[in-house]
Amino acid sequence: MNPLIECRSVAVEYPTADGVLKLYGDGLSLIIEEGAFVSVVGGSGWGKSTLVNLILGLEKPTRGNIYIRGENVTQRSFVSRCSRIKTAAVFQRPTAVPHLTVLQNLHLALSMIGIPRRERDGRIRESIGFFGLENLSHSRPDSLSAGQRKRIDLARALAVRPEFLVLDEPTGDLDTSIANLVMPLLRGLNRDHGITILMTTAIPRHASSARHQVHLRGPTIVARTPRVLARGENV
Amino acid sequence: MFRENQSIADKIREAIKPTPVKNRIQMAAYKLRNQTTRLDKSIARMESRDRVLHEKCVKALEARDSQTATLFANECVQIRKLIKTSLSSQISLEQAVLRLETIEQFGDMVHGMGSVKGILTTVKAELEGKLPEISTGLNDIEDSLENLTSEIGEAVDSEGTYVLPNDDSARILKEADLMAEQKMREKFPEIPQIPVDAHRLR
Repeated sequence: MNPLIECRSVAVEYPTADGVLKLYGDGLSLIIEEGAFVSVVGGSGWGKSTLVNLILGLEKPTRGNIYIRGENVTQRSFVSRCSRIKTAAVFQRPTAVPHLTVLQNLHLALSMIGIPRRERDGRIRESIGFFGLENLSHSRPDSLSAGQRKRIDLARALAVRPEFLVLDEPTGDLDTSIANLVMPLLRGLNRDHGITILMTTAIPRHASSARHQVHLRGPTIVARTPRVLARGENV
Repeated sequence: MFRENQSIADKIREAIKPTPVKNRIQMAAYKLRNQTTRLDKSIARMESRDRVLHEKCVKALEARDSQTATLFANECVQIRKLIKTSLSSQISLEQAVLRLETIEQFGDMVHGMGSVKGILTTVKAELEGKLPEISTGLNDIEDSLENLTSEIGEAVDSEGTYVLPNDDSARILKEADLMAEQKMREKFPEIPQIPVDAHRLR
Protein backbone atom coordinates (compact mmCIF):
# COMPACT_ATOMS: atom_id res chain seq x y z
CA MET A 1 0.00 0.00 0.00
CA ASN A 2 1.18 3.52 -0.82
CA PRO A 3 0.80 6.39 1.60
CA LEU A 4 -1.99 8.64 0.39
CA ILE A 5 -1.62 11.19 3.15
CA GLU A 6 1.16 11.65 5.60
CA CYS A 7 1.47 14.03 8.53
CA ARG A 8 5.00 14.42 9.86
CA SER A 9 5.43 15.90 13.36
CA VAL A 10 2.49 18.22 12.88
CA ALA A 11 1.65 20.61 15.71
CA VAL A 12 -0.65 23.59 16.00
CA GLU A 13 -0.68 26.54 18.36
CA TYR A 14 -3.62 28.87 18.82
CA PRO A 15 -3.75 32.13 20.70
CA THR A 16 -6.52 32.03 23.30
CA ALA A 17 -7.66 34.43 25.98
CA ASP A 18 -5.76 32.36 28.61
CA GLY A 19 -2.56 31.79 26.67
CA VAL A 20 -1.30 29.66 23.81
CA LEU A 21 -3.19 26.43 23.19
CA LYS A 22 -0.90 23.66 21.95
CA LEU A 23 -2.33 20.69 20.11
CA TYR A 24 -0.64 17.33 19.47
CA GLY A 25 2.14 17.79 22.06
CA ASP A 26 5.56 17.32 20.44
CA GLY A 27 4.00 16.62 17.08
CA LEU A 28 1.61 14.18 15.48
CA SER A 29 2.83 11.76 12.82
CA LEU A 30 0.30 9.77 10.85
CA ILE A 31 0.28 7.80 7.62
CA ILE A 32 -3.00 7.09 5.83
CA GLU A 33 -2.48 4.48 3.16
CA GLU A 34 -4.60 4.21 0.01
CA GLY A 35 -7.76 2.25 0.76
CA ALA A 36 -7.38 2.57 4.54
CA PHE A 37 -10.16 3.33 7.02
CA VAL A 38 -8.64 5.39 9.83
CA SER A 39 -10.47 6.81 12.80
CA VAL A 40 -9.16 9.60 14.98
CA VAL A 41 -10.55 9.50 18.49
CA GLY A 42 -10.32 12.16 21.17
CA GLY A 43 -12.31 14.43 23.43
CA SER A 44 -13.89 17.74 22.60
CA GLY A 45 -11.28 20.41 21.86
CA TRP A 46 -8.46 17.88 21.41
CA GLY A 47 -7.92 18.76 17.77
CA LYS A 48 -9.96 16.21 15.81
CA SER A 49 -11.53 18.78 13.48
CA THR A 50 -8.27 20.70 13.36
CA LEU A 51 -6.54 17.57 12.06
CA VAL A 52 -9.18 17.29 9.33
CA ASN A 53 -8.72 20.99 8.49
CA LEU A 54 -4.93 20.58 8.38
CA ILE A 55 -5.16 17.67 5.96
CA LEU A 56 -7.70 19.47 3.78
CA GLY A 57 -5.67 22.68 3.79
CA LEU A 58 -8.28 24.75 5.61
CA GLU A 59 -5.71 25.46 8.32
CA LYS A 60 -1.91 25.54 8.33
CA PRO A 61 0.21 23.78 10.99
CA THR A 62 2.55 25.78 13.19
CA ARG A 63 5.13 23.00 12.84
CA GLY A 64 5.56 19.90 10.71
CA ASN A 65 4.59 18.95 7.19
CA ILE A 66 1.73 17.31 5.33
CA TYR A 67 2.23 15.15 2.25
CA ILE A 68 -0.22 13.92 -0.35
CA ARG A 69 1.12 11.00 -2.38
CA GLY A 70 4.64 11.90 -1.29
CA GLU A 71 4.40 15.54 -2.28
CA ASN A 72 4.79 18.18 0.43
CA VAL A 73 1.53 20.16 0.33
CA THR A 74 1.89 22.01 3.63
CA GLN A 75 1.88 25.42 1.96
CA ARG A 76 -0.61 24.44 -0.75
CA SER A 77 -4.17 25.73 -0.70
CA PHE A 78 -7.34 23.76 -0.13
CA VAL A 79 -8.26 23.89 -3.84
CA SER A 80 -4.79 22.80 -4.87
CA ARG A 81 -4.96 19.79 -2.52
CA CYS A 82 -8.42 18.86 -3.82
CA SER A 83 -7.02 18.86 -7.34
CA ARG A 84 -4.41 16.29 -6.25
CA ILE A 85 -6.85 14.00 -4.52
CA LYS A 86 -10.59 13.91 -5.19
CA THR A 87 -12.07 14.54 -1.78
CA ALA A 88 -15.55 14.55 -0.26
CA ALA A 89 -16.53 15.49 3.26
CA VAL A 90 -19.39 14.79 5.64
CA PHE A 91 -19.77 16.84 8.78
CA GLN A 92 -21.59 16.28 12.04
CA ARG A 93 -24.67 18.30 11.17
CA PRO A 94 -26.90 17.16 8.32
CA THR A 95 -26.20 19.38 5.34
CA ALA A 96 -29.12 18.58 3.07
CA VAL A 97 -31.30 21.56 2.12
CA PRO A 98 -34.49 20.80 4.09
CA HIS A 99 -37.06 21.84 1.50
CA LEU A 100 -35.47 20.10 -1.49
CA THR A 101 -36.17 16.43 -2.08
CA VAL A 102 -33.36 13.89 -1.69
CA LEU A 103 -32.97 13.81 -5.49
CA GLN A 104 -32.94 17.61 -5.78
CA ASN A 105 -30.36 17.81 -3.00
CA LEU A 106 -28.03 15.44 -4.78
CA HIS A 107 -28.53 17.26 -8.10
CA LEU A 108 -27.79 20.59 -6.40
CA ALA A 109 -24.62 19.24 -4.76
CA LEU A 110 -23.33 17.80 -8.04
CA SER A 111 -24.21 20.98 -9.97
CA MET A 112 -22.26 22.99 -7.39
CA ILE A 113 -19.14 20.95 -8.01
CA GLY A 114 -19.66 21.31 -11.76
CA ILE A 115 -20.83 17.81 -12.79
CA PRO A 116 -22.81 18.10 -16.06
CA ARG A 117 -26.48 17.15 -15.92
CA ARG A 118 -26.17 14.09 -18.19
CA GLU A 119 -23.57 12.62 -15.82
CA ARG A 120 -25.47 13.36 -12.64
CA ASP A 121 -28.34 10.88 -13.08
CA GLY A 122 -26.11 7.81 -13.18
CA ARG A 123 -24.06 8.90 -10.21
CA ILE A 124 -27.13 9.74 -8.16
CA ARG A 125 -28.85 6.45 -8.98
CA GLU A 126 -25.79 4.49 -7.90
CA SER A 127 -25.37 6.53 -4.75
CA ILE A 128 -29.01 6.36 -3.71
CA GLY A 129 -29.02 2.62 -4.36
CA PHE A 130 -25.94 2.02 -2.20
CA PHE A 131 -27.51 3.75 0.78
CA GLY A 132 -30.98 2.28 0.27
CA LEU A 133 -32.64 5.64 -0.31
CA GLU A 134 -34.65 4.65 -3.42
CA ASN A 135 -38.00 4.86 -1.66
CA LEU A 136 -37.12 8.19 -0.10
CA SER A 137 -35.75 9.92 -3.18
CA HIS A 138 -38.82 12.20 -3.46
CA SER A 139 -39.03 12.90 0.28
CA ARG A 140 -37.77 16.08 1.83
CA PRO A 141 -35.06 15.80 4.50
CA ASP A 142 -37.14 17.67 7.07
CA SER A 143 -39.62 14.78 6.96
CA LEU A 144 -36.92 12.15 7.49
CA SER A 145 -35.23 10.74 10.58
CA ALA A 146 -31.71 11.78 11.67
CA GLY A 147 -30.29 8.47 10.42
CA GLN A 148 -31.95 8.89 7.01
CA ARG A 149 -30.63 12.46 6.74
CA LYS A 150 -27.15 11.19 7.51
CA ARG A 151 -27.54 8.68 4.68
CA ILE A 152 -28.37 11.58 2.32
CA ASP A 153 -25.11 13.27 3.32
CA LEU A 154 -23.21 10.06 2.73
CA ALA A 155 -24.97 9.57 -0.61
CA ARG A 156 -23.97 13.11 -1.60
CA ALA A 157 -20.37 12.33 -0.68
CA LEU A 158 -20.39 9.07 -2.64
CA ALA A 159 -21.93 10.76 -5.71
CA VAL A 160 -18.82 12.96 -5.84
CA ARG A 161 -16.91 9.69 -6.44
CA PRO A 162 -14.11 10.60 -4.10
CA GLU A 163 -10.81 8.84 -3.58
CA PHE A 164 -10.67 10.25 -0.07
CA LEU A 165 -13.63 10.72 2.25
CA VAL A 166 -13.39 12.83 5.37
CA LEU A 167 -16.01 12.30 8.06
CA ASP A 168 -15.86 14.82 10.87
CA GLU A 169 -17.83 13.31 13.77
CA PRO A 170 -20.42 11.77 11.45
CA THR A 171 -22.26 10.09 14.32
CA GLY A 172 -21.96 12.96 16.79
CA ASP A 173 -25.62 13.98 16.61
CA LEU A 174 -27.08 10.49 16.24
CA ASP A 175 -28.61 8.12 18.80
CA THR A 176 -26.49 5.06 19.51
CA SER A 177 -28.91 2.74 17.69
CA ILE A 178 -28.88 4.94 14.56
CA ALA A 179 -25.12 5.45 14.74
CA ASN A 180 -24.74 1.65 14.86
CA LEU A 181 -26.58 1.45 11.54
CA VAL A 182 -24.35 4.08 9.92
CA MET A 183 -21.03 2.47 10.81
CA PRO A 184 -21.51 -0.66 8.60
CA LEU A 185 -22.37 1.68 5.71
CA LEU A 186 -19.03 3.41 6.15
CA ARG A 187 -17.22 0.10 6.23
CA GLY A 188 -19.09 -0.80 3.05
CA LEU A 189 -17.98 2.42 1.36
CA ASN A 190 -14.40 1.61 2.23
CA ARG A 191 -14.59 -2.06 1.27
CA ASP A 192 -16.84 -1.98 -1.82
CA HIS A 193 -15.76 1.33 -3.35
CA GLY A 194 -12.14 1.33 -2.18
CA ILE A 195 -12.53 4.83 -0.78
CA THR A 196 -9.89 5.88 1.74
CA ILE A 197 -11.70 7.13 4.83
CA LEU A 198 -10.59 9.38 7.66
CA MET A 199 -13.20 9.61 10.40
CA THR A 200 -13.08 11.60 13.63
CA THR A 201 -15.13 10.63 16.64
CA ALA A 202 -15.31 11.17 20.36
CA ILE A 203 -16.85 7.73 20.84
CA PRO A 204 -14.22 4.94 21.12
CA ARG A 205 -16.77 2.25 20.17
CA HIS A 206 -17.42 3.95 16.83
CA ALA A 207 -13.71 4.35 16.28
CA SER A 208 -13.34 0.60 16.53
CA SER A 209 -15.34 0.23 13.29
CA ALA A 210 -12.29 1.51 11.45
CA ARG A 211 -9.36 -0.73 10.66
CA HIS A 212 -6.86 1.69 12.20
CA GLN A 213 -7.26 4.05 15.14
CA VAL A 214 -5.37 7.11 16.22
CA HIS A 215 -5.86 8.28 19.81
CA LEU A 216 -5.23 11.96 20.40
CA ARG A 217 -3.91 13.40 23.62
CA GLY A 218 -5.50 16.43 25.25
CA PRO A 219 -4.16 19.91 24.48
CA THR A 220 -1.97 22.00 26.76
CA ILE A 221 -2.23 25.70 27.45
CA VAL A 222 0.92 27.72 27.97
CA ALA A 223 0.23 30.99 29.76
CA ARG A 224 1.40 34.09 27.99
CA THR A 225 3.26 36.96 29.61
CA PRO A 226 0.87 39.89 29.46
CA ARG A 227 2.10 42.91 27.59
CA VAL A 228 0.28 46.19 27.25
CA LEU A 229 -0.46 46.90 23.61
CA ALA A 230 -1.79 50.39 23.75
CA ARG A 231 -1.67 52.72 26.66
CA GLY A 232 -4.32 55.03 25.32
CA GLU A 233 -6.22 55.05 28.58
CA ASN A 234 -3.08 55.98 30.55
CA VAL A 235 -2.16 58.88 28.31
CA MET B 1 -18.01 37.03 -15.61
CA PHE B 2 -15.98 38.57 -12.80
CA ARG B 3 -17.03 42.18 -13.37
CA GLU B 4 -17.95 44.03 -10.20
CA ASN B 5 -21.07 45.74 -11.62
CA GLN B 6 -23.57 44.10 -13.96
CA SER B 7 -24.78 46.04 -17.01
CA ILE B 8 -28.44 45.92 -18.09
CA ALA B 9 -27.48 43.54 -20.90
CA ASP B 10 -25.81 41.28 -18.33
CA LYS B 11 -28.94 41.35 -16.19
CA ILE B 12 -31.19 40.42 -19.16
CA ARG B 13 -28.77 37.64 -20.16
CA GLU B 14 -28.78 36.42 -16.55
CA ALA B 15 -32.60 36.33 -16.50
CA ILE B 16 -32.76 34.29 -19.73
CA LYS B 17 -29.87 31.94 -19.05
CA PRO B 18 -28.78 32.01 -15.41
CA THR B 19 -25.10 31.55 -14.60
CA PRO B 20 -24.51 28.05 -13.17
CA VAL B 21 -24.39 27.84 -9.37
CA LYS B 22 -20.73 26.78 -9.40
CA ASN B 23 -19.73 29.88 -11.41
CA ARG B 24 -21.69 32.17 -9.12
CA ILE B 25 -19.92 30.77 -6.08
CA GLN B 26 -16.57 31.18 -7.84
CA MET B 27 -17.55 34.75 -8.66
CA ALA B 28 -18.40 35.48 -5.01
CA ALA B 29 -15.07 33.97 -3.90
CA TYR B 30 -13.23 36.09 -6.47
CA LYS B 31 -14.93 39.28 -5.28
CA LEU B 32 -14.24 38.37 -1.67
CA ARG B 33 -10.57 37.85 -2.48
CA ASN B 34 -10.56 41.34 -4.02
CA GLN B 35 -11.90 42.80 -0.80
CA THR B 36 -9.20 41.06 1.28
CA THR B 37 -6.56 42.52 -1.06
CA ARG B 38 -8.08 45.98 -0.59
CA LEU B 39 -8.02 45.43 3.17
CA ASP B 40 -4.38 44.37 2.94
CA LYS B 41 -3.51 47.61 1.16
CA SER B 42 -5.33 49.79 3.64
CA ILE B 43 -3.65 47.91 6.54
CA ALA B 44 -0.24 48.63 4.94
CA ARG B 45 -1.15 52.34 4.63
CA MET B 46 -2.30 52.49 8.25
CA GLU B 47 0.84 50.70 9.46
CA SER B 48 3.09 53.25 7.80
CA ARG B 49 0.97 56.07 9.27
CA ASP B 50 1.33 54.43 12.71
CA ARG B 51 5.13 54.30 12.30
CA VAL B 52 5.24 58.03 11.51
CA LEU B 53 3.00 58.90 14.45
CA HIS B 54 5.00 56.67 16.80
CA GLU B 55 8.27 58.34 15.77
CA LYS B 56 6.75 61.77 16.25
CA CYS B 57 5.47 60.76 19.68
CA VAL B 58 8.95 59.55 20.73
CA LYS B 59 10.59 62.71 19.41
CA ALA B 60 8.07 64.90 21.23
CA LEU B 61 8.81 63.01 24.45
CA GLU B 62 12.55 63.45 23.92
CA ALA B 63 11.89 67.15 23.53
CA ARG B 64 9.83 66.97 26.75
CA ASP B 65 6.78 68.20 24.86
CA SER B 66 4.25 66.02 26.57
CA GLN B 67 1.20 67.74 25.11
CA THR B 68 2.28 66.97 21.53
CA ALA B 69 3.41 63.48 22.57
CA THR B 70 -0.04 62.83 24.09
CA LEU B 71 -1.67 63.99 20.87
CA PHE B 72 0.40 61.58 18.73
CA ALA B 73 0.02 58.75 21.23
CA ASN B 74 -3.76 59.13 21.15
CA GLU B 75 -3.71 59.08 17.37
CA CYS B 76 -1.56 55.91 17.46
CA VAL B 77 -4.12 54.27 19.76
CA GLN B 78 -6.97 55.13 17.38
CA ILE B 79 -5.14 53.93 14.28
CA ARG B 80 -4.12 50.68 15.99
CA LYS B 81 -7.73 49.98 16.92
CA LEU B 82 -8.62 50.33 13.24
CA ILE B 83 -5.67 48.14 12.17
CA LYS B 84 -6.77 45.45 14.62
CA THR B 85 -10.34 45.53 13.29
CA SER B 86 -9.02 45.38 9.72
CA LEU B 87 -6.63 42.49 10.50
CA SER B 88 -9.35 40.52 12.22
CA SER B 89 -11.72 41.22 9.28
CA GLN B 90 -9.07 40.14 6.81
CA ILE B 91 -8.44 36.84 8.61
CA SER B 92 -12.20 36.20 8.83
CA LEU B 93 -12.75 37.00 5.13
CA GLU B 94 -9.92 34.63 4.15
CA GLN B 95 -11.79 31.92 6.04
CA ALA B 96 -15.02 32.90 4.25
CA VAL B 97 -13.24 32.44 0.90
CA LEU B 98 -12.10 28.99 2.07
CA ARG B 99 -15.67 28.10 3.04
CA LEU B 100 -16.90 29.16 -0.42
CA GLU B 101 -14.22 26.94 -1.91
CA THR B 102 -15.42 24.00 0.19
CA ILE B 103 -18.95 24.54 -1.18
CA GLU B 104 -17.47 24.43 -4.67
CA GLN B 105 -15.52 21.24 -3.92
CA PHE B 106 -17.90 19.34 -1.62
CA GLY B 107 -21.27 20.65 -2.83
CA ASP B 108 -22.21 21.36 0.78
CA MET B 109 -24.43 24.42 0.53
CA VAL B 110 -26.06 24.62 3.97
CA HIS B 111 -23.00 24.22 6.18
CA GLY B 112 -20.61 26.28 4.06
CA MET B 113 -23.00 29.09 3.20
CA GLY B 114 -24.11 29.42 6.84
CA SER B 115 -20.51 30.12 7.85
CA VAL B 116 -19.97 32.61 5.02
CA LYS B 117 -23.19 34.43 5.82
CA GLY B 118 -22.31 34.75 9.51
CA ILE B 119 -18.81 36.06 8.72
CA LEU B 120 -19.97 38.56 6.10
CA THR B 121 -22.72 40.02 8.29
CA THR B 122 -20.37 40.59 11.22
CA VAL B 123 -17.37 41.87 9.25
CA LYS B 124 -19.57 44.20 7.19
CA ALA B 125 -21.02 45.72 10.37
CA GLU B 126 -17.52 46.04 11.91
CA LEU B 127 -16.18 47.94 8.91
CA GLU B 128 -19.22 50.13 8.34
CA GLY B 129 -18.25 53.74 8.97
CA LYS B 130 -14.57 52.76 9.32
CA LEU B 131 -13.76 51.42 5.85
CA PRO B 132 -17.05 52.11 4.00
CA GLU B 133 -15.82 51.13 0.51
CA ILE B 134 -14.97 47.62 1.73
CA SER B 135 -18.18 47.38 3.74
CA THR B 136 -20.18 48.28 0.61
CA GLY B 137 -18.26 45.69 -1.42
CA LEU B 138 -19.09 43.04 1.18
CA ASN B 139 -22.72 44.09 1.08
CA ASP B 140 -22.83 43.40 -2.68
CA ILE B 141 -21.28 39.95 -2.20
CA GLU B 142 -23.73 39.18 0.61
CA ASP B 143 -26.62 40.22 -1.66
CA SER B 144 -25.47 38.02 -4.53
CA LEU B 145 -25.12 34.99 -2.20
CA GLU B 146 -28.51 35.81 -0.68
CA ASN B 147 -30.02 35.84 -4.18
CA LEU B 148 -28.43 32.51 -4.94
CA THR B 149 -29.87 30.82 -1.86
CA SER B 150 -33.28 32.45 -2.44
CA GLU B 151 -33.36 31.26 -6.05
CA ILE B 152 -32.62 27.71 -4.95
CA GLY B 153 -35.50 28.07 -2.50
CA GLU B 154 -37.86 29.64 -5.06
CA ALA B 155 -37.33 26.71 -7.39
CA VAL B 156 -39.39 24.69 -4.93
CA ASP B 157 -41.63 27.51 -3.63
CA SER B 158 -39.69 28.09 -0.48
CA GLU B 159 -37.48 30.81 0.92
CA GLY B 160 -33.75 30.71 1.39
CA THR B 161 -34.06 30.72 5.18
CA TYR B 162 -32.33 27.35 5.43
CA VAL B 163 -28.99 29.12 5.35
CA LEU B 164 -28.49 30.66 8.75
CA PRO B 165 -25.28 31.89 10.38
CA ASN B 166 -23.86 28.94 12.36
CA ASP B 167 -21.45 28.17 15.23
CA ASP B 168 -18.63 27.75 12.75
CA SER B 169 -18.82 31.46 11.84
CA ALA B 170 -18.81 32.49 15.52
CA ARG B 171 -15.72 30.31 16.09
CA ILE B 172 -13.95 31.72 13.03
CA LEU B 173 -14.67 35.32 14.09
CA LYS B 174 -13.45 34.68 17.64
CA GLU B 175 -10.25 33.00 16.45
CA ALA B 176 -9.64 35.79 13.94
CA ASP B 177 -9.93 38.34 16.73
CA LEU B 178 -7.39 36.50 18.88
CA MET B 179 -5.03 36.05 15.94
CA ALA B 180 -5.28 39.74 15.07
CA GLU B 181 -4.50 40.60 18.67
CA GLN B 182 -1.42 38.35 18.60
CA LYS B 183 -0.24 39.85 15.29
CA MET B 184 -0.61 43.34 16.76
CA ARG B 185 1.40 42.32 19.80
CA GLU B 186 4.21 40.95 17.62
CA LYS B 187 4.23 43.71 15.04
CA PHE B 188 3.87 47.00 16.87
CA PRO B 189 6.16 48.66 19.38
CA GLU B 190 4.52 49.75 22.59
CA ILE B 191 3.22 53.27 22.68
CA PRO B 192 5.48 55.22 25.01
CA GLN B 193 4.06 55.92 28.43
CA ILE B 194 3.84 59.63 28.99
CA PRO B 195 4.50 60.78 32.53
CA VAL B 196 1.39 62.44 33.94
CA ASP B 197 3.34 65.34 35.30
CA ALA B 198 5.66 65.66 32.29
CA HIS B 199 4.14 68.95 31.18
CA ARG B 200 5.14 70.47 34.47
CA LEU B 201 8.79 69.89 33.55
CA ARG B 202 8.55 72.13 30.54
